[in-house]
Amino acid sequence: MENKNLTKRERKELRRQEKQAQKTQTFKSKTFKSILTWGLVVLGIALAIWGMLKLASTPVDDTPLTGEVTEDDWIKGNPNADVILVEYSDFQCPACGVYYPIVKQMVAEYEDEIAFVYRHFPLSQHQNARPAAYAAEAAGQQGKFWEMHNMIFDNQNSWSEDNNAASIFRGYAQNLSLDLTKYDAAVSSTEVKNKVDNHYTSGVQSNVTYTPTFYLNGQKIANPSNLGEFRTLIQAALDGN
Amino acid sequence: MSFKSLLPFLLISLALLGFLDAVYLTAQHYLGFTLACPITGCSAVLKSSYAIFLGFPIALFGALYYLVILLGVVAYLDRKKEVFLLGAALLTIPGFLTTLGLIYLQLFVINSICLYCMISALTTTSLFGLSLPLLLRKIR
Repeated sequence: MENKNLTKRERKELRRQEKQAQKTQTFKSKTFKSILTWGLVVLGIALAIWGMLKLASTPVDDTPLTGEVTEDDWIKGNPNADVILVEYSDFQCPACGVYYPIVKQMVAEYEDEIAFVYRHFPLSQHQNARPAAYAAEAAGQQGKFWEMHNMIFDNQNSWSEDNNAASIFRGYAQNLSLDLTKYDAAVSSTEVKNKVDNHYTSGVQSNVTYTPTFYLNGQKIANPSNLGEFRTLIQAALDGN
Repeated sequence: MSFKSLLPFLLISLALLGFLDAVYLTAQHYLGFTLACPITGCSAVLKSSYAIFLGFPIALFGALYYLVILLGVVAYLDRKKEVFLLGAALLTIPGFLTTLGLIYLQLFVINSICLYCMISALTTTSLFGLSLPLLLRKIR
């Protein structure tokens, strides 16, 4: 063999080189495995985040509004308009309080072109939401639903946490110069309670899970973040007709 | 396969599940509309003041927590150094304690249960349970 011709020292050197090469080889395959592992992990994590972002940003469910707008509904604007905006609202819900002036302003702007419908959706965690709805309905029986509705929202902070909110609402009834005997009877009547219940049930059937929930021409819309966005939506609906 | 060789993969699976869950909740927090009052349930929990910590949604901390555990176990598999596995196992202790606190809040303070939070509770508890034998062995 060739090796025989090599000196002892040369043979030692050769072995050393072979060992070194083997070492680099295992090191290389190990690094390769590491890179592969971590690459897959990073890829997996990125994929997971992307997927969840996609999942979370799916638009609002498109359960259509069940329950036609009837004469029993409280309508503001033009009752015969083609564009109908329905709101399921809770008088004690702070978000509804935030939307109240926005909706009010918008309805004033499109008074002749849209019909705005207010429906009760009192949430169970708001102890005064039902009394407020009853007060508005009782005022409605004397033709002052919207006046009471405005007063209740204008003063949301002053009655929300009050243990005797009903008497505060009675004070509003007095301010609106309602017939208090009739008002008192109406507030505790089953007729008023049933009406609020019916509103609530129709909301549940339409898959309302938060307040305010808005339906524009029967389609649930994501809550606009300001008046401008609301205008754009309404304008698009008007243009579409 | 023995429990010991199976353990890292169980931990990775659970941490991944928890990570997906927490990232989903975090994404919902930032992408979902914020101006609404929810009917009681998941959103009642997630919109409560307890869902925010130091200005960030708790789900975000949860996502980071699961990520660290996940990376720790992967590091162990890659480097074969037990310290990584042990570190991940140790982390499951504060994770489990936090879960207990959050379940308490849901049951007795917010009075509402959120399914996604319960999934996370299940994963942290399982992670802790699986790590326990390893931790106990180290103490002895």
